[in-house]
Amino acid sequence: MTAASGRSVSTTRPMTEQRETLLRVRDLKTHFRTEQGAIRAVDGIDFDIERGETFGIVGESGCGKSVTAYSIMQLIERPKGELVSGSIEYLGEGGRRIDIAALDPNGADMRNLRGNEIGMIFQEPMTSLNPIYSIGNQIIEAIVLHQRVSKIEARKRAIELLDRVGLSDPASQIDDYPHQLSGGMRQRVMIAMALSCNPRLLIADEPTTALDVTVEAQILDLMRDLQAEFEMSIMLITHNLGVIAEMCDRVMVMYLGKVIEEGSVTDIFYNPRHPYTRGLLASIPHIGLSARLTPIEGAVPMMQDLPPGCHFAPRCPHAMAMCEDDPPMFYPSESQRASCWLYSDEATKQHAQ
Amino acid sequence: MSEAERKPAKLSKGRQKGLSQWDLMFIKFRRHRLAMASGLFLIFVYIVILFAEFFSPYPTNEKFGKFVHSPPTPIQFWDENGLSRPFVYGYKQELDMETFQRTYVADTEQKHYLNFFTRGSEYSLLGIVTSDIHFFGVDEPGLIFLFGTDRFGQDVFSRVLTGAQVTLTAGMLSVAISVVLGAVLGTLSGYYGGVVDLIVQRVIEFLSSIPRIPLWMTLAAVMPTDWSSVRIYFGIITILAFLGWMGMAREVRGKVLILRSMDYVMAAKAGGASSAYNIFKHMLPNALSHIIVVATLAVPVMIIVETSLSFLGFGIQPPMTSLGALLREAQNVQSVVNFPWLFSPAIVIIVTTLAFNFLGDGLRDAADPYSQ
Amino acid sequence: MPSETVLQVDGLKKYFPIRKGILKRTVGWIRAVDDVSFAVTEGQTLGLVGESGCGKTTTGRCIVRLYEPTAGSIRFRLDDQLEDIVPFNHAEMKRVRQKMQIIFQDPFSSLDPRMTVHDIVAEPLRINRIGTRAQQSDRVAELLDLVGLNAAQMSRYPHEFSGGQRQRIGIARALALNPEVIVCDEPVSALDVSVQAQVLNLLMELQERLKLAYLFIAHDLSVVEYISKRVVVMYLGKIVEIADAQDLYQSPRHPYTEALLGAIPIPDPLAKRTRKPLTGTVPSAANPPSGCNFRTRCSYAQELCAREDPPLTQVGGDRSVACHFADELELTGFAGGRSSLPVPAALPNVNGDSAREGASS
Repeated sequence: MTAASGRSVSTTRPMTEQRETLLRVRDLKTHFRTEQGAIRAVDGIDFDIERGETFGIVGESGCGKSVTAYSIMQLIERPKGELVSGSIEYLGEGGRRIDIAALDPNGADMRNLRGNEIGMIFQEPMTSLNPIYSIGNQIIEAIVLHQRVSKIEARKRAIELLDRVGLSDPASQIDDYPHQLSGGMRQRVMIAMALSCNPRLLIADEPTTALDVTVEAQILDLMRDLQAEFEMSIMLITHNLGVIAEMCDRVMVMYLGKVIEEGSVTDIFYNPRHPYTRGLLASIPHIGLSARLTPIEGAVPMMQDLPPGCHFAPRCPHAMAMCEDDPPMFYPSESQRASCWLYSDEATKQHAQ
Repeated sequence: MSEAERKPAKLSKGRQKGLSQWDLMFIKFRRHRLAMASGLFLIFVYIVILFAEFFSPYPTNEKFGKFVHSPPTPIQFWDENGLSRPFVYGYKQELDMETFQRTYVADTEQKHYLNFFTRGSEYSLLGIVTSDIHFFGVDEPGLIFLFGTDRFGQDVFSRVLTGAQVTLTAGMLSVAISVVLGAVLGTLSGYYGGVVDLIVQRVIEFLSSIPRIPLWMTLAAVMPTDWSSVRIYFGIITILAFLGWMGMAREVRGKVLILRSMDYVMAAKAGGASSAYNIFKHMLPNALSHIIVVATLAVPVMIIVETSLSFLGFGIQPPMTSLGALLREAQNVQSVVNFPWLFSPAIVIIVTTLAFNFLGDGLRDAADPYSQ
Repeated sequence: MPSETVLQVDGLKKYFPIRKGILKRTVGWIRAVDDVSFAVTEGQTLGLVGESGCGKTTTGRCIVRLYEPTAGSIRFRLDDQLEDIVPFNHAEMKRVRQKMQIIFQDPFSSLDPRMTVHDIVAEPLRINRIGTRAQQSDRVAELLDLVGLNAAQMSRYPHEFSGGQRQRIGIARALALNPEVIVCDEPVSALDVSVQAQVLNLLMELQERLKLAYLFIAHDLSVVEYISKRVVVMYLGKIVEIADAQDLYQSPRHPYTEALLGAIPIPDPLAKRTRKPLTGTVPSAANPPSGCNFRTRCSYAQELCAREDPPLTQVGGDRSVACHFADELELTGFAGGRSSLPVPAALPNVNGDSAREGASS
């Protein structure tokens, strides 16, 4: 740890209103061992997800957004990957606080949490459904596993769910096999499965990336409707800023395993603080605007070979000497935090002069 | 990019040599300890069997009538004076009057020292060099049977070496032939598809549907009995190869089907490349690592098949011998119990096939150098 | 102005056979591309958009003759004359291939992992026996420089480069023979957001410098709008609408275009969304519906649509639509259009102790 992190401000965000925090992640580190050395896929991140909100995590490939989701679900493949440190505090039924990071990944508590309390949907709905069982079979199994109901009851519930996620003829489609459905339909089935036990948190890992734009719109609409209906929080992981803008209340931007910025969705789009966030926004074409894009220079560095200090410094147009130290979190406004030396006291003082 | 930036870059041209895919594969392979060790072990084994006549102390068919079913000769390092240069004791034969079995007792009176590069019977290496120098031997009149002797008093160690020479080279050569056959047919079938593919695939399916062992036996049995053992050896190799290429062709075809639709093949086509260019420049080089893996894993199978054929009496005929033929000696329970050293050919087979499998495993991992 | 046309596609069809049984008999056809016509103008970009399975990639591959068209003509400008290249043999195609190249989507499968960057970029020169080895090397250095790569890295292998750099290598290869037309098949969809913009800008710069014409195939509507002068929208193997990009996005004339535009996620949290969600799924190209291909999902569909296939007809100026009711429908364009981007608060300016100038690539 560098001297800089010693100066870091307390990790708890300034509280403006009393909110019920469903998930509180502190100093989460998930590392992987590879032949080329250790990869710090997630390297000390903090965030809170409130009840009922949609929390977006955005970033490019290799930024650790999916690993964050897998860590919360304790789905990290061991011994290659390991949850090195940190806590993942989940507010369970009846106000019970559970530290997921301390649970045995294969234990009964964790299994109960997965599916029952936290549901997850993945990018590729084909590979997440078992091709040899009918979709009904898989949903019914998920229901029976977590709830004490009979098979007949579970089947009825499965048909209800499939109907709810928009299958046109659920009573007969329940016996279809995954390959008989289109990509969009499969993602609907995945959502039905994730919702089968009324989870309070839905983790969606690039849920629409593999889908066509019209289907994507349908799935996003569906997720929004279901969120209101099931009163759940959604943790939405995507690289698509359009999806973030449409869906999220709060957004966290990640870059190479670290949180770079977090704020409300309007903060992020209208007043981005971190140069990386600004670079991302300037990189995407806006329909109707004919101005040339200004891309971020260079490429995302390899995970095995990270630059010291601020990982973004080599690509940053505002890089300065200070950036060779790890930047702590700064709070330029009440609802926003950014990990960038530009917001340090020294830098702002200099600016004022 | 400005001119100033370009200049120094051009000067260092050629110095920034990157790591090729072969380099990466080798780096990855080297990390696979077991496969590395197996590879080195196999190189050692093949060197030894290539010069089997040199490494074996006695000619394959020399019968020591007085020493039938002799157990392995222990090599001694200690005598009454303490540590000594290696030697063997002489043998005394005794007949157990109760069981009427011969037993061999070491005669501590006689000491025969072990020597290297000794002169012995004359042999010709690979039909080219004639020599009478053997790697090791003991002083006359002593005898050394590292793996004991068989029922004719022949030295099992020498016989295992020559047997392994036949079996292991037959495995290798038949795989080499089936690789060529399989690669050619697999590539044609995969690249051109259509009728060619249809015919090749149906032929493969037909050939694969015939029960193996009976077919091999039939084919081996139709070889004329008056053939010389060398001709029979090559006949066996041909039979093995003829029935072994199908798996290879399937593998290559599958690989070619994937490679055919790779964008870099498409790009070459869009640049005006011919089919031959694409096959030889892009597809075969990229399929090569895969072919090597499959071939490595096919060798032990061929070794086992040759052994089985010879064991059943349909393979290599005397005076030539093979590991399978040697194992016929150990067919009955009596020999298992009384003369366990007759099993040494089996141990050689097990160790080499395992080594081939470990090597193939390591190669398979290395063939995909980008995975973690 | 027909003299400016470098590529004219007319009635292009590509049917893939569906084969079944042990003898692989043809039991049906997938109409991947079904009667498609458009023109590419010199030095301009024609965007080709549509969802997966609409036939846009097949169209591109037919044009560079990686696939043999089932029917139709592809006329390409050779010596100031548009010549149909469909009947050309391998030798004659070589002439065309020097002037028409292709860039692929996947930067990982488009470069042979066993070849050095030099050999990859020089491959078209080698195949067409252009120049000596030394001349080829010089040309490679020049091309790498042109696409923003360090020529000193030419003896490296593709795995040592990032996705964006690999895509640049693919572009350098496509430029090797000085083409006039480049078919870009989803060239940025596999890249990270920040790198996408780099490659798009590179393509636009190259177009200006080398007077290239692009057929730009993509599924991302905002990317297509950014780079294209004109846009073709395809659905189930057919063209539903062709228009200048601005007209198409502001006032679509085909219901499918409207639905596509409505579905784009807008990167602006305050944008107003007017979405009419499209129901159902794309029908199979092996068994398309009667009449209009889109009618099964179209909210404006009428009885006529099931009976008659609407032809692509010119509707005012320079646009064509394949819809029976193109003149009657009042369709909404892209809702999130902006005239300017929000200007974020100025960053604290602390360049006083700046250690670096710009960022290295």
